[in-house]
Amino acid sequence: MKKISISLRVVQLLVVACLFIQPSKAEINQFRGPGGDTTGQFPLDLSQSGIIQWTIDLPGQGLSSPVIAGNNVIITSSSGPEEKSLHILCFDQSNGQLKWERRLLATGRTMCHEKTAVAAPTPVVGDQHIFALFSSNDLVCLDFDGNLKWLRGLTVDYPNASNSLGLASSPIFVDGVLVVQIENDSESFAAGIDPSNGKNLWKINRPKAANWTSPIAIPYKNSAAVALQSSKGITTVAPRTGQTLWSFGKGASTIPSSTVYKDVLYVPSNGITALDLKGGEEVPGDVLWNSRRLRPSTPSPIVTQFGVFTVNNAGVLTCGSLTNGERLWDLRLKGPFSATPLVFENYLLFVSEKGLVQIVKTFPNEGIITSSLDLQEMILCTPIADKGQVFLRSDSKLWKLSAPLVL
Amino acid sequence: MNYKTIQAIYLLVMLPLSGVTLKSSDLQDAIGIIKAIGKEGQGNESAMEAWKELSSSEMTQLPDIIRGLNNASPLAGNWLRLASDAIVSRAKVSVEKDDFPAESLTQIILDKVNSPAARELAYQVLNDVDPSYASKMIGLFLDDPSLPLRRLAVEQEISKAEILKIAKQSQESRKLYSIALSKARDIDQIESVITELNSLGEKVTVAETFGFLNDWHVIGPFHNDERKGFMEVFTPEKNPNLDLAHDGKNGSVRWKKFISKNSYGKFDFNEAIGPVKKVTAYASRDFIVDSDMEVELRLGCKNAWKIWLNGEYIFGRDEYHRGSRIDQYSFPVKLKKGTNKILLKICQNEQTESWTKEWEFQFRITDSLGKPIAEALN
Repeated sequence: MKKISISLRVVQLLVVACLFIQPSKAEINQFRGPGGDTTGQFPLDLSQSGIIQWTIDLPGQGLSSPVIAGNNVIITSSSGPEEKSLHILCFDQSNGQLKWERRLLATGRTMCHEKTAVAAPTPVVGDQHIFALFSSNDLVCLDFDGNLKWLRGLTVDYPNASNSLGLASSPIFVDGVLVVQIENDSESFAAGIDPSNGKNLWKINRPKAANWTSPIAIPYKNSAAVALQSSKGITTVAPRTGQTLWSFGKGASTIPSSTVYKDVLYVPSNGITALDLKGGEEVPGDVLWNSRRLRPSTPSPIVTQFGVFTVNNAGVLTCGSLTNGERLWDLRLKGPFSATPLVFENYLLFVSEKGLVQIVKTFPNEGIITSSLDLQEMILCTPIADKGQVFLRSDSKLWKLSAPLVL
Repeated sequence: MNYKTIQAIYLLVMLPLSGVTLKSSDLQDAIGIIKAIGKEGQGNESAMEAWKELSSSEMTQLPDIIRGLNNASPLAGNWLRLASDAIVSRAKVSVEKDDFPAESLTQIILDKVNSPAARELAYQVLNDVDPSYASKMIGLFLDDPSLPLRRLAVEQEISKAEILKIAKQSQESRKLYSIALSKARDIDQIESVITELNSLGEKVTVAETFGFLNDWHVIGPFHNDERKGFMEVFTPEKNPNLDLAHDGKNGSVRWKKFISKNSYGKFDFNEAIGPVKKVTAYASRDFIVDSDMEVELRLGCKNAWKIWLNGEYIFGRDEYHRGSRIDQYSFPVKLKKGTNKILLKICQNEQTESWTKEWEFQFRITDSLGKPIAEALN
């Protein structure tokens, strides 16, 4: 009996001690979700009363995705004449209450196409910090309480690094390094930035051509690499040095980004090209298959155990085989789409540019629309799903969708 | 209870809700460190420590931090803005309203010795806390050197003019719109007022209002094969003499004068030289002023371009057909008394889509706020 009580005491002490220890694994949240693959649990019945848990009016426009930081939802927006006012906002996930707002002025160019905004890149959360990038190339590092850690003005540093249509590539956090990809016709580069002080760990020249794709983390042997996509193809680099590891040179799209799933990289290249990431002792990047029938438009391809999914300019969802890319089935949705869909088990959640949320249940031979919700606003951002909640935004609103609690 | 909850409780108990009073010298030192930041993160480590000090200071020290924006670079200004945001958001829950330095902030706003950036931030803070108090100052901003403050006053004038227009008091409405037009510097406001004035029968053009330079000497075409013309130094860059002939893409070419009649001030090489692709051309113009002065060269262009002033290279950009707008690029420069020579190089690429036909620019010379500089009579 005494032994048991001592054990309980030890357990109690350990539990208390654990409360004061930082989580060992840094939380990462980014464009297309923690894994960069838009996977996350979302409610399956959108017709339930109370599905919209809260709606918040935003102080500016934007198409960056919301990201989760602890119990917070972080979002960026841009406002004012020529969108020179930049906002980073933090809301309480549970009730949508504003916790803090930080404002700064753009130090780089803010011109962009009317369909996009200066708040286009999605922030990334890593190492207990928020890294927010804007099309003006202003890069801000804040802690979860909104305290500034450091600031960079990448157009101050590299004056021709801008795109008159706007930049949109979202930064990622890999192997303790913040990676940005700033590509345009005039001065293109990618850089690995030290999150502790905002200085470059490395900077490499990139193809001089407009490019809106985002870097993604991919497996490389027993560690991680960064895949940089451009019209030239894919270049993978080491996160801590920027050193090139391997390349794929047969071209790729400059709008939808690649998706990684189980050691295969699905690249929007001549339709979809699947690259083998295993490689073993050899250099990875062998072409497994190519399918011209899978043609992603603005949304990036998504991949589940059931197939590779793309949606084209006409709003047609196509499911392709994981093994050879062969088209398995099509389903016409109500589009058009800019947002990359969410994945939860064998369900996909689409948000059209007109604000129509549609859930598709996928089967080996077909897909069926099972639920929908009309938010009646133009929505271009990729939503984010987390533990049964969906966060998404328009130019003026932020929504939380979640199944209401049954008491 | 999870880690974050425990951490939050700890922070609430251990940290003071109100700020810390910094010694004035410490505060100025911290501001100085932030203002010293350089390119590529240079000075960030010191600035991070300085920011912690500033952001933890008391609300009563906020005016000194805001004055720190005087002579600060845009990037350093953002460090100070974020310190201000942190202080205000903390103070809102923990400082009595009496501690709010409304008087000092008002003084910063009204004293134009302070930089526009400092005055704008002071106004923003005041407006966040007490919008009705802040709005009472708007009428004072109609001639303001701060564009955001001036914009508020112009907006007020436009609103008054709209009310008169709706009441069918056209003459009075026109008067107010004309005042608004003379004071407005933001492009969207100017364009909307021009539209209103035109609808009221007042003939005002965009080109005249913005003061675009529409008369240039032009020469071309030179080649732009594989977009290499942008970097190639063609002979007009070496010798700006307008009397000389040069070897062009299709033989000898000479400078000729062309005057654009475009109502938006666009100077179109397709008209001046011809609708050709994969080419480069130059536009040259003298600009005479009575005295040395600081001005801005403002350009809108969707082709690759370079600018020289009095033989000195100012900037260039090889981007094609991604869009253009009025004052897309602006460069602060010094004009000398007398004749100043402006040289533009504008390249057209190989694309064949209908939206890649444009080979044009809009150019004007303004003061720092965007008011066109009138050229002295020759």
